[in-house]
Amino acid sequence: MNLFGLLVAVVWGMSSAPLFLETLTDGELVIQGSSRAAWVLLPWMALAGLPHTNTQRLASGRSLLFALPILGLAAGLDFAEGESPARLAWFLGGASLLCLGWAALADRARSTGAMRSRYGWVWLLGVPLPLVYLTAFAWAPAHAASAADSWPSFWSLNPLIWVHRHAPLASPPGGALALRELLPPFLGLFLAGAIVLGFSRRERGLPPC
Amino acid sequence: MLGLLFGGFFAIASSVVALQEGNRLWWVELEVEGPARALRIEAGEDGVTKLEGGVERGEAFRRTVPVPFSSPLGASGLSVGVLPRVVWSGEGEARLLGWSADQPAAILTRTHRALLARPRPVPGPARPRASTGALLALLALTGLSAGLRKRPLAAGVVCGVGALVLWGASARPPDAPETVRVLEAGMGPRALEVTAARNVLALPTQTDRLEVDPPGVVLSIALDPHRAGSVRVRAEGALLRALRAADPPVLTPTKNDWQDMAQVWTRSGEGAWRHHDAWPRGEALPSASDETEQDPSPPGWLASGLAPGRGVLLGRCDAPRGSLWLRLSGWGE
Repeated sequence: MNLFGLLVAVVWGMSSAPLFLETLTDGELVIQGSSRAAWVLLPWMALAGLPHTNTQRLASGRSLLFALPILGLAAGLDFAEGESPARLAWFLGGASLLCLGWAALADRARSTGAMRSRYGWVWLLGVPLPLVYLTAFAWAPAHAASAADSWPSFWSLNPLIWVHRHAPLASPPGGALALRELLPPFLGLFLAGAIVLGFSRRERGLPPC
Repeated sequence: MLGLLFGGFFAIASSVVALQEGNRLWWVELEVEGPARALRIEAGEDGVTKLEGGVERGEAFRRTVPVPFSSPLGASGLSVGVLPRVVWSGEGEARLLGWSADQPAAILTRTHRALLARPRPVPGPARPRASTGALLALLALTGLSAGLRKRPLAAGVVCGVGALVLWGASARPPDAPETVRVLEAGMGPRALEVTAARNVLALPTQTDRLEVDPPGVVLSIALDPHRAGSVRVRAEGALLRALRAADPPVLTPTKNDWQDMAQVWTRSGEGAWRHHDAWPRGEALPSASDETEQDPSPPGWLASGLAPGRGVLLGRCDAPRGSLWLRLSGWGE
């Protein structure tokens, strides 16, 4: 499986996870008050517009086919919960067009290096960054009080989550960061580097490091 | 002095009326001679009562039936309001003789005022979930389409058809909407059973009062006049609560003379909650476990709104019709 196949598998897992978790936990873990179709679409929407490299044609539009069965299941559950068919149809139709539109734009932007670079910046500043800030604005006040007193979790591999959990205001005053608190994001960085550099060496026909 | 008396009387009368005005279940005397079909009692914008099954030729009966009426002045306001209208098809005769002389809601308001003032349970919406079969089918479809990735047209057909099949398999309401039952009690001789559900509620027998949230919503009541206990209330998007007088639980710290309880929590007058193990009938209350983080907390909706400074016992009984919760105040006093 190449890097893109792995990425599609991860996106598939993220989009189907809410449905599996609800059933496997017998309803103990549910995402109340939100559309499952929207949860399913979120990772695919992110994948659709992902900037491409010139040498690796990602074929994002085709990979979106994998979203269809999950989307059918999620939309059916939304309908069973009382969502009107007309609203569902408009939402799913609009979201599908958006996915295809971003996928086409990302594909078109592969043609020249300048366009690829410009698209990369537009995508980064326009899609994931506002989402991260919006999430942080809603998230930080709710969790700041009890953030830093526990052992760093798996999630601290993510630099954004680590920054939030160990920000000065969220830590006990005067205390320096222990090594165990500093380690996870650097471990995350090392893992990311190993994955990216290892794959690129393999694609260039070089032996792995 | 006279002003004080008038003030007190007015306050009591207002609270009684305020309690009654939330009731949407008032009873009328109906007399029917068959043949009659599609019998309905229409209460204008408040809703309708439908009598299921026809009345055959030669059959006649007189019944007390509920109508989903709003009476801002409670039972005393019924006599000055317009009587609902009965409509039917067939050669028979149906007429309303008037409001029933005994209105259970009015009696309940007089006898259970303190218990009626407690906060009401709010059932969560029954959230449909994907079946295990649907999830397995999803995995199989994904595996199949991944195997066909070199043939995009075939993969597209598989994914599209799979999406439609999974839509069809999941797009139906859950079988059992969530119903919450709570027995409200103090240390006195009365208790109140509250049954709450969303959208549709099968009224327990001898329901005294029906509350609806939002209050002005149109209700549809369906009942079979030949079968007792067959009353169902429907109001799409509304929260329905049926209340009835019940026997109080017979519980003392040394003996449970009521029924098996799967979980018990007690609160002292100082406000500290303690979790106990299951409390079988006939036995003494198990000692509270040492407080640990693993101890389940009482549900927030059940533990909220309780009078401070009083002992409380909360319990859950597993019953065939779903869980029955107990909220008993004055415990240990």
